[in-house]
Amino acid sequence: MTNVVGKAVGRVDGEEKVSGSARFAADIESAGLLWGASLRSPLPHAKILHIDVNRAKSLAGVKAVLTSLDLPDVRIGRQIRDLPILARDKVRFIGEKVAAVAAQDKDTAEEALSLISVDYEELPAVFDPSAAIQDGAPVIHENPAAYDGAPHLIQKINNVVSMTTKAKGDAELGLRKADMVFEHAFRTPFVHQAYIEPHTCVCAIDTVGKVHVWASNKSPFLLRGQVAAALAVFADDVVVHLVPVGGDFGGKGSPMDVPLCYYLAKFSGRPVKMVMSYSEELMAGNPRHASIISVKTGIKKSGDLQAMKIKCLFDSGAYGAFKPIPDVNLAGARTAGGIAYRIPAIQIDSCCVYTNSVPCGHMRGPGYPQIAFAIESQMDIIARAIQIDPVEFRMRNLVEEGDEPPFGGSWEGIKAKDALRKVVEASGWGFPKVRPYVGRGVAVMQKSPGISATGANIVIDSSGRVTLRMGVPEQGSGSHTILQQIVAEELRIPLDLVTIETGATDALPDSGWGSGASSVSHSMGQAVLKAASEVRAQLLTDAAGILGVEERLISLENGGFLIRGGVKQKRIPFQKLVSRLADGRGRSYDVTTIYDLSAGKKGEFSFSGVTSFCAQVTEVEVDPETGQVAIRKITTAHDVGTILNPITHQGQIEGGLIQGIGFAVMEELCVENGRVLTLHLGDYKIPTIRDIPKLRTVLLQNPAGPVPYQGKAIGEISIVPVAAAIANAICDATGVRLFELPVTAEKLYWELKKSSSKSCI
Amino acid sequence: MTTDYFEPESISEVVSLLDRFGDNGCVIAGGQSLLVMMRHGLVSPRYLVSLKNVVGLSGIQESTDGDLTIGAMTSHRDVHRSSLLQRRTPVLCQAAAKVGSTPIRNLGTIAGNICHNELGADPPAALLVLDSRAVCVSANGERNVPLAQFFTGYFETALRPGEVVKAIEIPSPPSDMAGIYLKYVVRSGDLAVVGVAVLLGLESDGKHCREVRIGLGGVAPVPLRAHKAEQILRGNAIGDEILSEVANVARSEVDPVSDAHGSAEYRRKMVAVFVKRAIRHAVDVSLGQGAIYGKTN
Amino acid sequence: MGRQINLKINGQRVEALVEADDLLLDVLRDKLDLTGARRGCETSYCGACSVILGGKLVHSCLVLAWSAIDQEITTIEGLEVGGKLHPLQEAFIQCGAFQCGYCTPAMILAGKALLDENPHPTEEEVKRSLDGNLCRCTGYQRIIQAISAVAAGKI
Repeated sequence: MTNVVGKAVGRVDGEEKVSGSARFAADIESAGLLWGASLRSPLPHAKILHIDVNRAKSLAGVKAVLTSLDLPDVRIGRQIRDLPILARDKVRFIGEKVAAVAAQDKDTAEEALSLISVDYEELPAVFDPSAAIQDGAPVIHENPAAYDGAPHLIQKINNVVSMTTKAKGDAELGLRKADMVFEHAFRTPFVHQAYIEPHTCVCAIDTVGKVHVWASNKSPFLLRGQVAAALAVFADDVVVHLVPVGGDFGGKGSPMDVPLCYYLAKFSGRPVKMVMSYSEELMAGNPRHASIISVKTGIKKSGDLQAMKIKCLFDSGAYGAFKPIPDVNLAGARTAGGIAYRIPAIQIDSCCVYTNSVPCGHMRGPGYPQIAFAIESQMDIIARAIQIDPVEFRMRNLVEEGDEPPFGGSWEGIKAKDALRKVVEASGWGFPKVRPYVGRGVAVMQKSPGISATGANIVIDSSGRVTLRMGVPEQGSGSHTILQQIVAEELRIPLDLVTIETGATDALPDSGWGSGASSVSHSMGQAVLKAASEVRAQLLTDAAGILGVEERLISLENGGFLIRGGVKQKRIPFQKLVSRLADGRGRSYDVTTIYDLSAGKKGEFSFSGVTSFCAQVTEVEVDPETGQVAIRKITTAHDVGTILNPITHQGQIEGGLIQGIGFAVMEELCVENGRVLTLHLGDYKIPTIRDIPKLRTVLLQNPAGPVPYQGKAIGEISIVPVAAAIANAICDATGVRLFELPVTAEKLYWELKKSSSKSCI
Repeated sequence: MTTDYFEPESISEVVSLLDRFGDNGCVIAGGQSLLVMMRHGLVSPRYLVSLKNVVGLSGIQESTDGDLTIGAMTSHRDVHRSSLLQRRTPVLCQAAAKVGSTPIRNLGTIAGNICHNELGADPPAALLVLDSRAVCVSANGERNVPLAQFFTGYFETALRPGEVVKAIEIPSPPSDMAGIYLKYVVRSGDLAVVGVAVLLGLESDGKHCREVRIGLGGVAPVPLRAHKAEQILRGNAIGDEILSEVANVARSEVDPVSDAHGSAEYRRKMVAVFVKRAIRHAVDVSLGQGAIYGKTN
Repeated sequence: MGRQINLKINGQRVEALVEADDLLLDVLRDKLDLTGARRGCETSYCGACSVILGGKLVHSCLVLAWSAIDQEITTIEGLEVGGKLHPLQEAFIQCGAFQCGYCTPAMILAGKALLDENPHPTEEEVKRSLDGNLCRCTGYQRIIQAISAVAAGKI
C-alpha cells in the first residue's frame, strides 16, 4: 500500500519556482561583488606573442586584469586536464579565453576588455575531424598523452583525444559471411544544450582562505574536486554552495569559468561574479559533439542481422576537458547509441578528435542521439532494400527475453518488441495517409540508467520534522520531489513533513556525479531509500522501548505509529511520538548512508542489468515545393518501471522529444572555419511553442529496475530515437533519404530535385 | 555610451534635439531593434530622443478622401488589430501579425521597422504594394518619401541626418483588390526567408488580372516591388502557365544573400514558389473562396 | 548622469537611481532585487526577462527604464496576493508546466497578459501569445495545459 510514491504530486520547489523567488547563481549577491569578464580569441589557432593590459589596468573601476602569466601553469578538465584557465602560449579555438578582468560593474569590465591588445601569430588550423587525423595535419596539442587524466591509450595518430573499441563476436568475419552488406555514413552537427540560463558563477574567498563557489553546475562535488585541482588546494578548502540550475541537459557539469573567477577574486581581493553572455555560450559553451558515423551492416537473405561495424568520428573541438568519463569518449559509443537488436557480431570504434573548433561536451545521452540517427536510419534503408516493412524488419531483429544484449552481459525483462507493438498500435502505423507527401517513420532504442556513488542524510528533530539533506542540485528534472516522496513513503508520513535541504559541500554527504546519465532517481534514490529505512528501523526500535511493546507489533502507517496486539489497535501520530523519542535520546535522529555498488567505482558510471526501451513513430508532411517538413505527430512508447511521479516522469519524456525535434530539423551551431556564425538564439534555432506537434505517450508499466520501488531511468531516452524516426518518415513521404542533420527545408529541397525516383535508397 | 534620454512632447522639439545632437543623437521609438543593436555594440548613440510622448504620433487616421495615416509610434500589434486597417489594408495587418513575437509586436513600431530596414522584415513588402509614403520631418521641414525610394541598402534608408519618420501614409488603398502576405520561415518567429505581399484585382469575369502589385522582402538588399512580374500578369487570364512565368520573372528580379539559413539559389526558388502561392491565394480571396487571414506563420 | 526615477511596480511606487541606458531588466534585478525577471539571451529571443508593462507583455531587456516611468509594471513578484499563489502559478505546479524554473516567471506572466485580455483563448491563441518565450525543458505541452486549465476555471 503506497502512501505517495506514484502520485502526481506537485514539485517540492514549486512555489519558489513559480513565484520567481528561487535564487539561481545569477541572483547571488555579496558585499563588494565585482563583475568578471573574459577577452576571447578571434583566431582559431595562433601563437600569443604579447598581451598588453596596461591600459585596461589603469581604467578607473578595474580591480584585476589577468593573463596566463599571472596564473600557475595548470590545466583544468572533468577527466583529461588539457584546458588552460587562460590561453597560454597559444589559442586553439575562436572564443578561447586569453585575458580576464574584474571591475566594479559590467560596463567597466567590458570597456577594460576593449583596452587589452593581443598580438597573435596565426597558425595553420584544421576544422574537419577526418582531416585532423591525417599525417601532416596541424598539430593542436603537442603531447596530449602527457595531460593529467589522459586515457592510457593515446595512439600515434594526429590529434586524437581518445579512441575506444567495443565488440562482441567477430564483426569482420560476420560481414564477410553475410548475404548482403550495407554501408552508409551519416553526419550530425554541433548542437548547443540551449538551457535558458547561461553559465554563471560567483567566487568569494573568506577570511580563513576558504573558497566559496556558487555556480550553475549540476555536480557540486566533482566541481569541488576540479576546482581544488586547478587551484592546487585541498578539496575541503573549496566550498560549493548548491543553487538551482536553470537547465542542464548535460552542459552544466564542467568547471567552465569557476577557476578563472577564483583567480579574479584572489587578485582583486573581492568576490567576483561571471555570467557568460548568450553569444559566449554559443561560441564557447560545451556543445554536443558533431559526428561522422559510418555503419556497415551485414544481413542474411532472411533479413536477420548478422554483423555490424560502426565507426564514429567525434569532433571534440580544441579540448577534451568537457568529457567526464575515464576513456574521454562518449558513453553512447559503448552501447552503439543504445542499439536494441539481436546481433551475433558487432564492433564499434569511436574516435574523438581535436580540431580548432569549439570544445565539445555532453548533451542529453552523450553520443546516443548521433549514433541512433545513423543506425536507425540504416535499418530503414535495409528494410526498404529487401522490401520488408520497417516495423516487421525490426520485429524480426529486436532482442527479446532470453537474448543476449548486443554487447553481451544480460538484461532482465526485455520489452523491446512490446514497445514497438504498442507504438505501432497507438500511432496508426499502416493506416491510409490523408495526403501525398505524408510519411511515417519508426525508430527503437534503449538506455539504462547511470550509477554514481552517492550519499544522503536524513535528520528527524524533536519536533518530528524530517529533513533530507543531499548534494544534488535541482536542475529541473524534479529529482528533489521524488526524493521527498521516497522519504515520505518509507516513513508513511505526509509529504509536507519532509523538507529538502541542500546547503553546501562542506556539510553534505558526497553526491558523486550529482545529476547526469539518468542516474539520480536510481543512485540518489537508493541512498535516500536506505537512509529512510534505517531511520525507520531506529524509530521502531526506540518506540518499542519507550512503549514497552514488542517491536514486531509496531509499524508506521498513515502518518503515525500503529501498535497492534492487545484488544484494540493503537495509533500515535508520527510527530507526537517522534518528539518523545528524540527527547528521550537527547538528540535528533541523524542517519547518513552511501549508495555505492561495488561495480560503480566512485566517480564512475557503470550500467546495470535492466534497461528501458523506447519505440517512436513520427508522422510528417513534406511540402514538396519548399522542402519544409511539418512534424504532425509523434507517438512514443516507453518500457518503464514503477513511475515515482507521473508529472516529472512525463516532463522528461516530452522535453526530450521536443529537443529531439530540434536536433532533427533545425538545430545547428553553424561553424565556418572555426567561427560560430549562429551567435544568438535567433540564429541558433530551438523549437518555440509554435513548433510542437501532437504528442502521444504510451507507457508499458513493467515494474523492474534499479530505481527504488522498481523504477527505471527516463531522463535521456526520449531524445535518442527522434531524429531517425523523423528522417525515416521523410523518406517514407518523399522517397528521399537524408544522411545529414539537421534536415533543413533547403537540404530536402535539393534532394527532392535530384531524386527522380520515388523509391528510397 | 548613452548618457542622456529625452522624451519631448512635440515633433518640433524632436527635430530640434536631433539637429542639436547631430551624429550623437538617435531617435528611439519602440526600441525593439535599436536596443538590440546597442547591446551588440553596433550603434552607440550618446543621446536618445524618444518619440513616446510626442503628441499625435500614435494611432491610425483616415481622411475624408480615404487616405490612411499611421502614426510613427503605432505598434505592430495596433496595426494588426486595427479594424480600420483590417478593412482597408488586410495585407498590412497580415504582415504586422507576423512580425517577430508577441512582446516585439507589443512595443515595436511600424515606423521603427522601416527605419531599421532589416533583411526579412515583414511590413515593408506590404507597405510597398500599398504605394505608401514615409512622412519625414527635420529642422528643414517635411517631405514625403515614397517607400519605393525609402529603402537604400541593408540597414540603410533615405532618411537624412536629423530626420525622423513621423508617419506612414497610404494613399487611399483600393477597395476592390485582395491583399495577401505570405511569409516563409525556417522556424516560427524568425525573420522571413522570403516575404511576399500581393495586391490583386480581378476583372469582372473573375479570370483576368486587372491590376497586380507584388512586394518582396528578405530577398534583396532592400524590399522591392517585382515590377516585371506584375507587368506580365496585368491584363492576362490567370492560369498555371502564366503564373509560372510570373514566378520565374519575379525570381530574376531579386538579389538574395547566402547565409547560415539558406543559399541565395534556394531563396530565389522560394520567391517563385511563394509569389505563385500568394497570387493564387489572392485570387481565392477575390472570388470569396479564401479566408483573408491565411495560416499565420 | 543617473536620475532618480519613480516606477510603478506591482501596485507600489518605488524609487531607483537610473542611468540613461539602463534597461528595465537591469533595474528590476540589480537595483530593486526583483530577480524573478531572469537574464537569458538579452537580445529578445528567449523571453526569460518578460514583464507586463502597461498591460502588455514585453521583454524587459528591450525597454529603457526611463521610458517605463509612467506605466504600471507587473513582475512575477506581484502575482501572489496575501500569500496566496495566482491561479496560473498553482496551475503551473499542478500541471508540471515548469522544470528548471528559469523561464517560468516569464511564462506565467505571458499567460497572465493573455488571460487578462482574452479570458478564453483557443490553443492557437495561447501558442501565439507565448511565441516570444522559449522553454528548453518542458516541450511546452504542459504550459499550454496549465494556461488552458486556468482559462477553463479548473484551477
